Amino acid sequence: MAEHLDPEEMVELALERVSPHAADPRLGHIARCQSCRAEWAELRRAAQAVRDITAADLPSLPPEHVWDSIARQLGPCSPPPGARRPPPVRRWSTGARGRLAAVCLTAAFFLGGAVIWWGPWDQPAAVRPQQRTQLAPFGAQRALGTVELEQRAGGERNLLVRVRGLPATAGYFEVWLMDRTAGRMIALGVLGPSGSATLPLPRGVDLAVYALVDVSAQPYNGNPAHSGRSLVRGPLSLGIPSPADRAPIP
Amino acid sequence: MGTTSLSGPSGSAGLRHPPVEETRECELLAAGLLNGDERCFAAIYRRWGPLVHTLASRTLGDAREAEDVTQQVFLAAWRGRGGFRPERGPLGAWLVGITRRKTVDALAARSRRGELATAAAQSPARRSAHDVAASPESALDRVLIADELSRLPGPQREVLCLAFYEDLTQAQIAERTGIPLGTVKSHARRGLHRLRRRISEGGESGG
Repeated sequence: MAEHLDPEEMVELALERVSPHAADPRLGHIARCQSCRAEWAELRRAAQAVRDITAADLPSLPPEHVWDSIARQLGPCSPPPGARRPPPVRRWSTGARGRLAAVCLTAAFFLGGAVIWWGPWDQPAAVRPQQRTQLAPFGAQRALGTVELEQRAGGERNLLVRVRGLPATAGYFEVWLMDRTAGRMIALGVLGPSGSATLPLPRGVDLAVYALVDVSAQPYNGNPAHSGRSLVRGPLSLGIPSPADRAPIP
Repeated sequence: MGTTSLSGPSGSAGLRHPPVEETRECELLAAGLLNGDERCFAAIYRRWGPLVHTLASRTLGDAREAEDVTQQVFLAAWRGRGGFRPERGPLGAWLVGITRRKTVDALAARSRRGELATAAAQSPARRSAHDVAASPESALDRVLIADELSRLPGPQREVLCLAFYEDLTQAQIAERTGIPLGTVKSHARRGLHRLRRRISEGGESGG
């Protein structure tokens, strides 16, 4: 038996969507080697799952009544898991959730996360008073943006948002903070005519929960809810632990 | 690493938890569960509730049933906490295992109901809501992978996202990002293997 396939070659095969029936010399070995075949099958399964993820596959919190019901059955003194409740938020208007269930959302969701890391890698930890994050285009949109968090004396925080390539609109563009399920959000304000805005963050808003920045096109219909038409979206930071990670541990 | 500069007055300075810290927190939560600590249990619900709920809803394709299963899973975990053996695997994997069993029970109950009420009685709308249940295993894979992807170290996730969602080769990723090709390859390899482990183990790789 020839030597097993190099682990990097194996990963390359999985990333490149090489069909099992392709005339690829690397597949010759896999056809003959049971252990390589098994490993490749598992890697392809994982790769396929990554490609097939939709917004609906992103872990999302169950409704609050689920915990209430569990807590009632635990005993009388269970603390609610949402003890650190976020400020009042708006929800998607009806139907918006359905429209979000597209693969491109996930791509944008994760790609938004991708961009923030370029640059600072492996460089000395320079003091950066402001962190600039790229906002990735959302769905079929072509807009691109950046967002910076500005820390001011006294704990005041501003978001500096700039978006290029905005489509023509008869409405306006609104900036939102949203959680990772895109289920809860806070409207921060509107973009100016040049596509930029400096918007104060509500004091005490937990950016570990409201980890995404989103810019939507809103019609002048008097409905304050998110229109469901997101143009760009990106995370304010990465690797944020879920709220439970910061739960008090006795 | 630049991302931590988001720390604010809310005390979220440790925004990026290295896996080892996450593992440690999971161990503390597991220990709390074994001691019957309800505060820990609430934290466990916050940490794994979304995963359990989404696994159930994507497998069952029915919001009400998914909420029921979520409730059953956590009540079973609380009442059966004495049966959790940390040495056999992490808490997350244990919870995912319970979720799988409860989901299978729910599907079995549904098919029993379906035998009583004939298939013809099922409305097309309800059937379409069950589309995702057609391949529960791939739905499980997707939810576990989505969760694990969000927990990968940033560089690994970025490389994989560029490969999968922008269809870039590893050489193109290196060119686009300025990361040496060898580093890109090692991020891709580690990241993809971690994802693979997550679905082959069905639970938590990191704790």
